[in-house]
Amino acid sequence: MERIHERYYLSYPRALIKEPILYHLVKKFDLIFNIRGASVSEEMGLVAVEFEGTRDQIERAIVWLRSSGVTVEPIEKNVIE
Amino acid sequence: MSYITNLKCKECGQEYPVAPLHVCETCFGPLEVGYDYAKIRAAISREKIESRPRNLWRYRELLPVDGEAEAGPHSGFTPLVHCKRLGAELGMKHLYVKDDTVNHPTLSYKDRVVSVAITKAREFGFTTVSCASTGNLATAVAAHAARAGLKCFIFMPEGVEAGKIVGSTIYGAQVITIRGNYDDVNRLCSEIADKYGWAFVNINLRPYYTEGAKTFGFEVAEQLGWKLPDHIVVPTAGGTILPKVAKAFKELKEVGLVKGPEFKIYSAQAAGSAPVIHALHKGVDLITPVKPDTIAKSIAIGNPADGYYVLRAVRESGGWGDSATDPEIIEAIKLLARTEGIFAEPAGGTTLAVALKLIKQGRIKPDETTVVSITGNGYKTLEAVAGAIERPFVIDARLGEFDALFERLGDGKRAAASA
Repeated sequence: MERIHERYYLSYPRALIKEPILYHLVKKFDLIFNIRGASVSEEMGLVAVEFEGTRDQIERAIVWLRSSGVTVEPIEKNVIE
Repeated sequence: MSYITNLKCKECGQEYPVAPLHVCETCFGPLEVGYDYAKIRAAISREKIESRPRNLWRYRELLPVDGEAEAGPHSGFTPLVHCKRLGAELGMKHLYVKDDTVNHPTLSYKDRVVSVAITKAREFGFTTVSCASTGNLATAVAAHAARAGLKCFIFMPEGVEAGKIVGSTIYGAQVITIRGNYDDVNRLCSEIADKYGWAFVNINLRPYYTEGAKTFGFEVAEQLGWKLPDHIVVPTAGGTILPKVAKAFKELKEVGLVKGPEFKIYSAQAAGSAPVIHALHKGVDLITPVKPDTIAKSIAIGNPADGYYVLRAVRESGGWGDSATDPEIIEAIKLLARTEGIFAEPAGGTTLAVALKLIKQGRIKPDETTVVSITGNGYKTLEAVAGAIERPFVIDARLGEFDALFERLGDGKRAAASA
């Protein structure tokens, strides 16, 4: 299976800031990730990350992240204007 | 001749060649066009600019293009309207509206950014342009692509109004609606931009596209007699225009076209989609995304790409920002139409409604020069105000009926007295 790289912003709501989300991501989906930037405030956390894996792995990881309450967006964020 | 030096990451400062790139490979920060301002200063003058045709290309030295304009020969240089009647109602002596309701050819400020993006797309040798949009951007890309002879693909979330689709297909664009929520559409478009190698005006051409928004600021300064306003109120959606208006004002000083006091810049958002205003009022840098719910569809962006740069530009200038509810937006649209004969879309209503609040709050004083940015035309969004306007009287075709109605309206006596 072809391995691809995709770049995302993950936004964590307050309730998830202390959860080791990326650890679970690696364990569950065997993804390689590379954090390029991160900020945390009282209200939310924001991580810029590059995933490496098969398309299927990345798709399933995004579905799981969203179901866990993490907002997953391409690094372009909103491109619909 | 080009005065561009490079692309530069706004976050880490890493430099890149002038190419269709938009994010930093290292930190994923957005890329910004850099210029040789010393060279521009030597090449440009007020007289030179004033001698050129009245379009946005009169500021070409400060735009990221190499050669002749390939798009937008009639875009920009919209009126800066001195609002005497509106000003009188508000007690403001020097209130202006920058009126992009009449921008050519698609009646919104998007004609500016798209003119620059399409010109750059031609310079890079692209033959297909694209965007994801629910309205003004789609129309502008489709129209400018048609005139430039480029193929055009427009992506829209499923469920947009039929009129929006017509507004793009009429120009020959291929419109594709996508099932799924906005997050899905955003992600797919980023993937398509990556895979197909098209010129996505607000993705891989974003550094050039956004530079077109500076022309809004250049024009305001020129039309004020080469002066900056004391205050300018600008709507915030994705966060393109506000930081670029601030950049435009700074560049005019940098290249010696404008001198004098500094400006304050203010962000306006609809209350139903105000993530930047929330962060501004809380004094934080991180913008918490929201799910938009407002009639101001053209500025309903829940997680603005350049929201952080809006905050930074507002704070650096000593400005502020506020939000307006849907009823406040409608009232402001009606107020502008009634006093100045300008019919704005809800984004414009938002800007004016917020300007009214800033005046009330005492942040904007009566004798200070203030510009309200009106970025789109109300004729494109009739449905937003249709339920809030007075319905017409219906009479039979007999003069007596009209006489009676006229009397009832209370105007009859005045008419008779003045006859």
